[in-house]
Amino acid sequence: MSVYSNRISIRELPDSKHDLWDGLVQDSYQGTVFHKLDWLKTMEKYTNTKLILLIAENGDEIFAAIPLFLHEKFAGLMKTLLSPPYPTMIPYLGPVFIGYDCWKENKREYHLTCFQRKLDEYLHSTINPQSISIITPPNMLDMRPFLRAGYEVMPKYTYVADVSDLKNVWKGFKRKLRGSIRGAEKRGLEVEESDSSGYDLVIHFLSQILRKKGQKLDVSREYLLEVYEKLFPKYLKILVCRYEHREIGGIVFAPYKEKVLIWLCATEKSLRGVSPTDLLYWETIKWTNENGFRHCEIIIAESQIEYKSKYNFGLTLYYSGKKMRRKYRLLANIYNIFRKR
Amino acid sequence: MSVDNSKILVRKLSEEEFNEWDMFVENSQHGTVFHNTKWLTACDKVFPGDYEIWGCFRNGELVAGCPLRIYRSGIFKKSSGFLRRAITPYNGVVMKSMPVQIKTRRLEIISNRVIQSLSDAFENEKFSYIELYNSPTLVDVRPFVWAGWRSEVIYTYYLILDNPIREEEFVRNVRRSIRKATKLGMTLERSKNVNEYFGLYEQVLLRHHSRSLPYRKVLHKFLERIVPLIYKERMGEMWLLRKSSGETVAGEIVLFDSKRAYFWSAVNDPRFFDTGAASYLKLKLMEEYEGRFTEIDMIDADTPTIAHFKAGFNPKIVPHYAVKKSSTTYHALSTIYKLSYWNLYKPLINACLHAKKCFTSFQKRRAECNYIGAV
Repeated sequence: MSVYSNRISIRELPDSKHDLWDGLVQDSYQGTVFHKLDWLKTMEKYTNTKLILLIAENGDEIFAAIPLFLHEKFAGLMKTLLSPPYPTMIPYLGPVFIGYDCWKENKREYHLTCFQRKLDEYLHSTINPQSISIITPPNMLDMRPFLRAGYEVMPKYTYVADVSDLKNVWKGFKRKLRGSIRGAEKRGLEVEESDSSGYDLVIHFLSQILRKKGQKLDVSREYLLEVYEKLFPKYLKILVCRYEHREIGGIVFAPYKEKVLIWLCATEKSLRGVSPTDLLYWETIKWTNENGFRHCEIIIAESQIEYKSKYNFGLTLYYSGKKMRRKYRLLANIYNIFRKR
Repeated sequence: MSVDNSKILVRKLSEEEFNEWDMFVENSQHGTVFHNTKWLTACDKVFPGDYEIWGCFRNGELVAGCPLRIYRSGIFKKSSGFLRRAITPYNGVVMKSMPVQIKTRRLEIISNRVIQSLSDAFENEKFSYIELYNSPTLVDVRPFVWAGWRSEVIYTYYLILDNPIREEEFVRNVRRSIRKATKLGMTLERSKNVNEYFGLYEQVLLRHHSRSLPYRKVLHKFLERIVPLIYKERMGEMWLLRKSSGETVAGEIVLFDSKRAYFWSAVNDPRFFDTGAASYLKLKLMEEYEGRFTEIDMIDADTPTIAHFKAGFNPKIVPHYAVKKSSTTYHALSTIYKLSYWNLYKPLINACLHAKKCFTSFQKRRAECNYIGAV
């Protein structure tokens, strides 16, 4: 292994070559819509962080890439690297590998191990952060290099289903859900594609729902609007639900590669006996199928699972890896104890 | 003792119910040979601690369960696998297999209820520390996390047995090793000779696992008990690979259940490392089991050197999850221990070593000065 590891290097992608990034993400096995440069730059702008795009090369060939966000506190004394940063309403980001699905197991392990080692070396010699937090995208099962390097790795879940056979998907729904969708259609609820007005509506309903719970939307409205500006219409779609000529809810989803990812959904809560959310989800699944996408994802299977599991999507794993220097871990633990109190 | 939670009754199984448990394990997708009571009883007879099987019953029907090995460590009541993962790689929860048409949501509800009930029962039993290594088929450990357990990811490899075995999928080094061993005319045979196997095992212990050396006698005793048992119960076989001269160069104990085979234990004579015997043995065993099983669990993909060797056969990496829970007192004391170990004991030891070094060099210098003075 050590014979070849000298060929492997990590470097920052210079600004002049940023246009290469989207191509890398597109070609990679793990790349998601969240990895797109436009989205990353928007995250950087609204999270008070600095975006660092790193690429790993084997000789001259790029085989991996990772977007990291540097967050500095206390005049640069506390440096944290995040992927994804927060608050951005992004469940995962992390590294992507090109050709990962074609490699044999031992080549995969070799590349993963070298990537992790070189990444740690690079970060230690350049930024020297006190903590690193990476949440990997789905399709990256092997976290052993990170475990061996002292990362604390936790499994996380998301719901994904193959929607190429719509009849099967429909059959899989909970009976009540099927009834609710049929009921909504009978009551005359209509769903259609929308644009910025629909997007505004979703943000408005989201804020309203959270306000009722005594919470606030933790991302800025400007961030959400900029995501829309940069990714609509190709990578962001909006469906709105109308009832009696009134818009009562909307859903925002991101089609990318073979998958449609349901990102935001919010509806008016005052309606009784009608569930526009169920209809919106179903219409999104239909949209996915009709537009030639194979998979549909309902992000994060750790919250609102009572609702999300009604759709009978399968569980897919991804991982969160965190590493912190011992002293800072101790300080963080003490800080957390006081914060909880 | 028993806890009723949403119509799920949790209680320890009596010995009369062990047959029912074995059948249950055999039919469950989460069940492995390591959950079988015959295996557990053999472990129990050799290693310290007692094992119990906790069953979850719904309307009198066994719907889930979990074997526990319980032992005392000082004032603490603990539960973990026999020799951690070495003897029982999987000792976690086994749930009743559901028909394919059962929906994800229903499965989630059932597993949540079962795990919550088990967790409550363990809580009532006042364990100071408990760890479960779930089998790879139990993917969803969210109910454990919601019940306050810590989860940890560990790995194993699954060899998918194509018919015929495609050697071109192996990495070049493995193919070369196999060719070399083939030329040496090695032969594979089923064996019941524990002493011969243990002879090789001891050499492995000496080379790699010196920390396990104190357990040498126990391991020997365990093998003496387990080898006849696996033949009697048809749950495994022991294989030895011999050179044409008759010398044993490698061995493997393979266990199996209705779902897959397990490469549970492997030994190699270090004198014959360069013969490619280890790779050849694996290939021969794959050929042996390809008609009977669709996959082989290679067990343990976490130790880097072992994983590197196993990865040469192009297996599939499979994560599985350990879940752990400790009582507040145990957690606090172990944290204090860890903190004092890293922040007090270690620096103190380092300081003592440094002082000793300084003192020795000072004495040396003084002796030199005295010598020069005398001259």
